[in-house]
Amino acid sequence: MAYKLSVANEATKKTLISQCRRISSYFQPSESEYESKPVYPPILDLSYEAVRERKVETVAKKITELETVEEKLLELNAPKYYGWWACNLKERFVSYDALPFTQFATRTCLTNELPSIYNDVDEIATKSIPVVKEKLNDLLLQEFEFVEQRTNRKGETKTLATEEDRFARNFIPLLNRMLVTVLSPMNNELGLTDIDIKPRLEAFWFLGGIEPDKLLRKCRENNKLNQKLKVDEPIDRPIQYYGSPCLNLRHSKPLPQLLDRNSGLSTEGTIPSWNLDPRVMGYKYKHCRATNVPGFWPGTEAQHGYLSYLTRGYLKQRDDQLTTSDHQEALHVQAILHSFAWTLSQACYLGFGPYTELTYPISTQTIITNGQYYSFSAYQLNTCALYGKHSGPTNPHRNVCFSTNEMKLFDVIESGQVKGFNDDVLKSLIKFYLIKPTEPQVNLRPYLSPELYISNVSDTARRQKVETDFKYLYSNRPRHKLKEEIYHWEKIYKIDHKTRPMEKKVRFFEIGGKAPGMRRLDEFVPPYVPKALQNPPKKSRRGRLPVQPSIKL
Amino acid sequence: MSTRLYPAFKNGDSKLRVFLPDFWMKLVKPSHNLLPNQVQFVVSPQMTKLDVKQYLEKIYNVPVIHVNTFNKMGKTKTVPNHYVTKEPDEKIAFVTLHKDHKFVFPDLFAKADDELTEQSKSMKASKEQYALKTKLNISKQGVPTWFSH
Repeated sequence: MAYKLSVANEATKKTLISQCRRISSYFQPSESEYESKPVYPPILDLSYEAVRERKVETVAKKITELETVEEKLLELNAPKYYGWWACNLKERFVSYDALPFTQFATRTCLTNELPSIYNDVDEIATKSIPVVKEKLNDLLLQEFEFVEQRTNRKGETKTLATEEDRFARNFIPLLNRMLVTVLSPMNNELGLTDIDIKPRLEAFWFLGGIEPDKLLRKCRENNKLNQKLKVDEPIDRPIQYYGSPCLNLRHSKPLPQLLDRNSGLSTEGTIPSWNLDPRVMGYKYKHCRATNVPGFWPGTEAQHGYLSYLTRGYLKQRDDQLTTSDHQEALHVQAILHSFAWTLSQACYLGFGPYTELTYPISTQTIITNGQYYSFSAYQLNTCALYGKHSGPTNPHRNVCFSTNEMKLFDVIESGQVKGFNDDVLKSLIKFYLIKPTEPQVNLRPYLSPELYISNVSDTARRQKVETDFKYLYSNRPRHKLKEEIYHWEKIYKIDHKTRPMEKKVRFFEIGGKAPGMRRLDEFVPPYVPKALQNPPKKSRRGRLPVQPSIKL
Repeated sequence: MSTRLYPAFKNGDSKLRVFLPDFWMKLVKPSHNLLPNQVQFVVSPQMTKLDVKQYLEKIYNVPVIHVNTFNKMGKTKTVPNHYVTKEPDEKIAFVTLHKDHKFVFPDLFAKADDELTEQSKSMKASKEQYALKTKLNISKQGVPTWFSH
């Protein structure tokens, strides 16, 4: 960048030029380089905290500026060749009193009522009740009374949880099909939805504001070079969620907004504060890939989530004491985590991500059911970047989850009759199918190039490399060569207590260099390229080029 | 129930009652920040999660929601020019109580330094000096310092 000189008048300008010419004959600044007003580079805050923040922001900026979805998702994995050491959250494992942590981890505030958008379709829903009730009656009798449910496969353990899940997995697609066919005349868009049965749902994000563990605290205390870093300074923890919804409905147009992103609950909702490591809740950490999969691959036309069904058999596997006191909370936790994960992975396919904040909200609907009990929830994702300070009060947005308590559809089925039918539950169920996806009013993909996906990129080398890397990484297959490990005896006799000082230093921790966990994705020996195809082609000893291919590539 | 061998339970058998179990549990200061309703114990390595739960519920009437256990290896120690030794292993149990049931490990030595008298302060200082001297000659631990070493 050329720094322009400011000069008082023409006379000083001429003397300066002549002086410069005397000093160095090569330097000949032209008159057009001088401007009346000086232009300085931006003044950077050189305090320790600001420098650290800028480091994180360069990473975030780098990912935001990448052009295609696959490259952004790959770049998330770039710093870790062997995977991120992330807190694994699973849909089926909800620990005791998990609601405060879940709300903090997903920055969600929870309300017990459904949003006002469902009141608009109330009339149509009431009119459709008789038609749906008749068919639902038949379906319930069929599944609960008459049909003998498919038994477990050979060798599978049979528990109350798996039995209930199996039943639900048979029932839910039939229920969905019935509702879609009956309600299509009232909602044309239902016929244009895509259905996924047992899709793969994974989401990855960074959570800031977690206190450091004992080992990190000790490292910081012993770190004499960097005294400015406080021992208790909170850190980011990566979180990887693995879900398994029963059925997903997707549409090519997004659901309408449930509430305004910049006011009301989205900016003022209460979220419990949390700073402890998730391991106190019983969740485990594991080396895993940062995968964001909403149940379909990039490039799918119907890429906006419409509705999702989840099963709740896992509740039967929890300890007795948990089922009595923690039952309803567990359902809320399941709904919040699933909705956040689904909307986040959809957002990643639209160019946003754990480092790229949303510019508009994304909504989704969820039903948790086992045939008899139903819990409805609607979720709006307002913020997805929760790294560093963004998981705390500095982030103006909150995600909102409208989740009802569980309700019974019917009391009991006896002697070929459904008894105690609850019309309210049926009405809510119908309302969920009557919401129409709308044409988006905003730019859906502000951070993506017009090509969107790597399959549209014309540069062959880049396209092929990114495609193979992405597919390999997202298969979650372990590497063939495992990470180098320190054997237990080496830890005791070579590292902790130096009892073998004269031995040859051959092992990776004795040679020095980077720790294996710090290896980046691009640190590997590249595949061998034959001499003829190298660029420029490698000449032989006698200076002759290799034989040129007959077809010009 | 206890470290004694007892017959395996079969469906229909009567309950085996153990009156003086030789299991033990030791409440310790938490090694890291826990939830307010969590307590950390060091327990007998033969105890299972269910044993820990029943111990608290039946003997102390403390309702327990969940127990997590893990075996912690004892630290290895060495004296210079001597062989490596290991402290005994421990089993740590994290007990989760009901969320309204809070427990804070008491600060047992809060007013220690303030209440020391002049004499006890000088005693403490001389103890520390002795420890320093013996640390320097750790291979000759236990030998009185008036031996010239």
